[in-house]
Amino acid sequence: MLKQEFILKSPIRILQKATQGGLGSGNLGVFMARPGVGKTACLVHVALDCLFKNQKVAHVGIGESVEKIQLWYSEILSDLCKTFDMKDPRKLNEEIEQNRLILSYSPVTFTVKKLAQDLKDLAEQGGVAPEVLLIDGFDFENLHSGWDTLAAFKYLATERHMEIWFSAQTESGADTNGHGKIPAPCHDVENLFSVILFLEPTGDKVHLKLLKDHDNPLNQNLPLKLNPNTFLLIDE
Amino acid sequence: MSRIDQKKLRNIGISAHIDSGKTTLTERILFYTNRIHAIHDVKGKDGVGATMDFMELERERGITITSAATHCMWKDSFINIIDTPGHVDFTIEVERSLRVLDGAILVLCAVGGVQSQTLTVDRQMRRYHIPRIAFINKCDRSGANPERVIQQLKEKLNHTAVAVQIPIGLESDLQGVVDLVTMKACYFDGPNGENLRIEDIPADLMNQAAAEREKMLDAISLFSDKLTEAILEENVTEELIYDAIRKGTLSLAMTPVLVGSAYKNKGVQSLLDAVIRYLPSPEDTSYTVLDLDHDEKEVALTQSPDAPAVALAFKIEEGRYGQLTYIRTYQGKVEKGDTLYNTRSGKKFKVGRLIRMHADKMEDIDLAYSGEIVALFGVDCASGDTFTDGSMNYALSSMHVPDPVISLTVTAKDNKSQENMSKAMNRFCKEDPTFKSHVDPESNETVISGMGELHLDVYIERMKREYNVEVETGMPQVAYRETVTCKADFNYTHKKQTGGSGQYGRVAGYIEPYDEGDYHFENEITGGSIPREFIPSCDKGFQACLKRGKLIGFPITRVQVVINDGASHAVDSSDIAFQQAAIGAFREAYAKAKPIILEPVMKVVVEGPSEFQGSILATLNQRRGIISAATENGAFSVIESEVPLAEMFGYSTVLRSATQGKAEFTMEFARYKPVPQSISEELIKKLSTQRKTA
Repeated sequence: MLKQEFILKSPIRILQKATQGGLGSGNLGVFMARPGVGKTACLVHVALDCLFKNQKVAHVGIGESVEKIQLWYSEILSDLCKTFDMKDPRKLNEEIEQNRLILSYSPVTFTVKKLAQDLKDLAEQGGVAPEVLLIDGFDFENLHSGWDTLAAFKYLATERHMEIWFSAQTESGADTNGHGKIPAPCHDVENLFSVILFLEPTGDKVHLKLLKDHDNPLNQNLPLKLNPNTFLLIDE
Repeated sequence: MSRIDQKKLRNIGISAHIDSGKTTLTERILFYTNRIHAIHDVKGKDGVGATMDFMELERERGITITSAATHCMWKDSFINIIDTPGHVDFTIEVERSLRVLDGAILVLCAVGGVQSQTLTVDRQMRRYHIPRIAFINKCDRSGANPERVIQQLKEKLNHTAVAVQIPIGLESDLQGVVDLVTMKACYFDGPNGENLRIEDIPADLMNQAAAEREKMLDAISLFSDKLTEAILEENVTEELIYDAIRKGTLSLAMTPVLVGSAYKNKGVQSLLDAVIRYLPSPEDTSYTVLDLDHDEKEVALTQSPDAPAVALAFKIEEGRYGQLTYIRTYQGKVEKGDTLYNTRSGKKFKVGRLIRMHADKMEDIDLAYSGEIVALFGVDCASGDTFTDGSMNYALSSMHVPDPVISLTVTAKDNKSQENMSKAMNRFCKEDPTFKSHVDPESNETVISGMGELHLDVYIERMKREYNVEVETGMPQVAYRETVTCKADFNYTHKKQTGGSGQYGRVAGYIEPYDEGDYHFENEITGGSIPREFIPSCDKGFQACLKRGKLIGFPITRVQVVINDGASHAVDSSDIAFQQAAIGAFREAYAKAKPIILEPVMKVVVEGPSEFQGSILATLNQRRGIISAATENGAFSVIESEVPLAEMFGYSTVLRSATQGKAEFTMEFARYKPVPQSISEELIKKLSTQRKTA
């Protein structure tokens, strides 16, 4: 019940409509915001939307433990269950765990090459081939060969028929008017992203702005807002 | 004998992942506290084995199986130590120890860091609210990285881990430790590291030590306003720091971290100082019991020696002279000659011999006060029993006991062995509630059940060595379950009215899936269609059906039964009649409720070098495993998966050959899940064949 309701009412549905059907296989997308605004929550919502549709999702945490990532999911699921008046999230948790894979890397040793090899091993030896990859904690700030690294991700997305979502931390005071539209640290690599979203706290809500939608004109009226207490995306 | 000063008494356990060095550490502790006078390696290069691994099997396999208890004195404090196994198959031993201890040392390997069993023992420590200090052992090993381990403590275990020492040198260069409280360097001289030498911190470590001390002060100042003030006024004293760390540790808000190498005799004496400084005495801990005469209301115990005695039997051992029962006293005192009362069995018994244990050596004593861990001889009781002086009917809350997940048939090779086998089973079951045995009523075979292959292996081996019993074992049997998948109605009449007194009862209602537990019975009868006095009989009848499902004869679980109508007869209705009606009703509905078979699924965590990640994944995938997480941890990968227990037999051999013996795994029960259709059909067919040939 919750799955069907969530799929129908999920604000991700609205996001997909606004972005011409969503991110799409072979493409990169990113949620940008200052620390603590809700980037990981957005990634988890994307994941849940896919998991409820029985798609396979891999959540990659760089510098985050498996347990912390699992906690994100169980907290957001618990909030969703309260919203949709469902008693016990445990069963739902068990169901989504069937299709969810969590990969945890140290920020010191993480490379796209390593990730690619692990995904290959998982597909060939482990029987797991995710369709959606979430990269949480990737360090855009200290990207020495930024373009090449992101290009490697783009190649990975194409080769493995996945869509890849990132979270990217902006600086305090970052806005969307500085470097054209896209704030640092993604401004130099914006051409590699198909969808770029910016989370901006306004008053008691967090506004989700669409900064790039493939090569299409932007839908200025994207109504997505985030509840800053629950980190649930709320549909206005 | 005078009472041990409670403030100076420490009841501690030493817990960790397998091969972290717990037993070696305990050996060193006993040596430095002059309890033993020679050091022996765990894997017996000198042919003797560590003092604590007193079971022959332990010495041979190089693993700790039973938790032995011992005691020692350090400076003027009295320490009871329980050395506990790390392997998940022996979790009950760890749980039991934690129930009776006040504090613990969590031992971690400086190379392996937080490993899968560390997570289990940490969870166990949290369950019983046990303050702990962490000791990063094996800093002499190649690849030792205490900083990484501290980070893992924070990330994986969510500890507020605070280093109170840093090592001087690492790997083969490990020379000593820097104490961040005293800001002095400690070296451990002499052939066994028994001579402590305190010196100034080496110049090249001064900056690092200063930085780490600042981090430490920053973290612990939360626990002491006086320390915060002193930091601002720049007159921090050692006492203030010790006090703040102790407060943080006792409130479970932080874990002080020490470093060293038990094997290389470095850091153990400082660890003992930390046990005294930071871990609680019985006075720092409050205990409650359940008053069985007042609806199990919680009652607080006092530490007074004059209060009525309360003690918990937490370990049973059968020896040459009879049963040895380890007890922890929580209130009052236990004296030789006293009469005690077992609140579970309702029996009284006299305290004959009272003993203080040291691994397998005994010391007779006359009196034990509250807070002490001692042993009684010749008392007929079970692990988990509560003893009082008879003036109150208390039970210390029952210890958490996980259900067994694997069973095996065992057949003694001859009649003499059969007799000894029964004796062995009785003993092992008394000692270990996760080890069970029963005779299958259909096949007449003896079946043993436990927490894993290794668990059962060890008992089979013990039967051979201690009871001279050779057994043949059958295929391991998985503990399947059955359940229903949809709602199904029933309306069943049990009637036997052919003259004379008869039986009559009708029950109507439905059964349906139930997620919140094994079984739930709901009475929705209105208007007295089934008289109230027969409702419990209906419940009893339904429950009788749960023992054997119709598909493969395994217990039925996760089912709710609701009765909403029925009928009775003024003369012929009875308890038996309604029990039979319920049984018939359940059988009628069960087939319609689309029953399925459930199998136990284990959480399997495999750790091994990253180069073997692909092979490890393959071994799990071949076993219907679902990979749920993978962590890259330097040169090691940790892969978490869920694998049906039925696929896990012999996995250790497979993993060993796939990874050149460099990977290891742990498994514990995760949940029950439906078996795939093809396997379900196979199981049903197999049972049907067995029935035909029986």
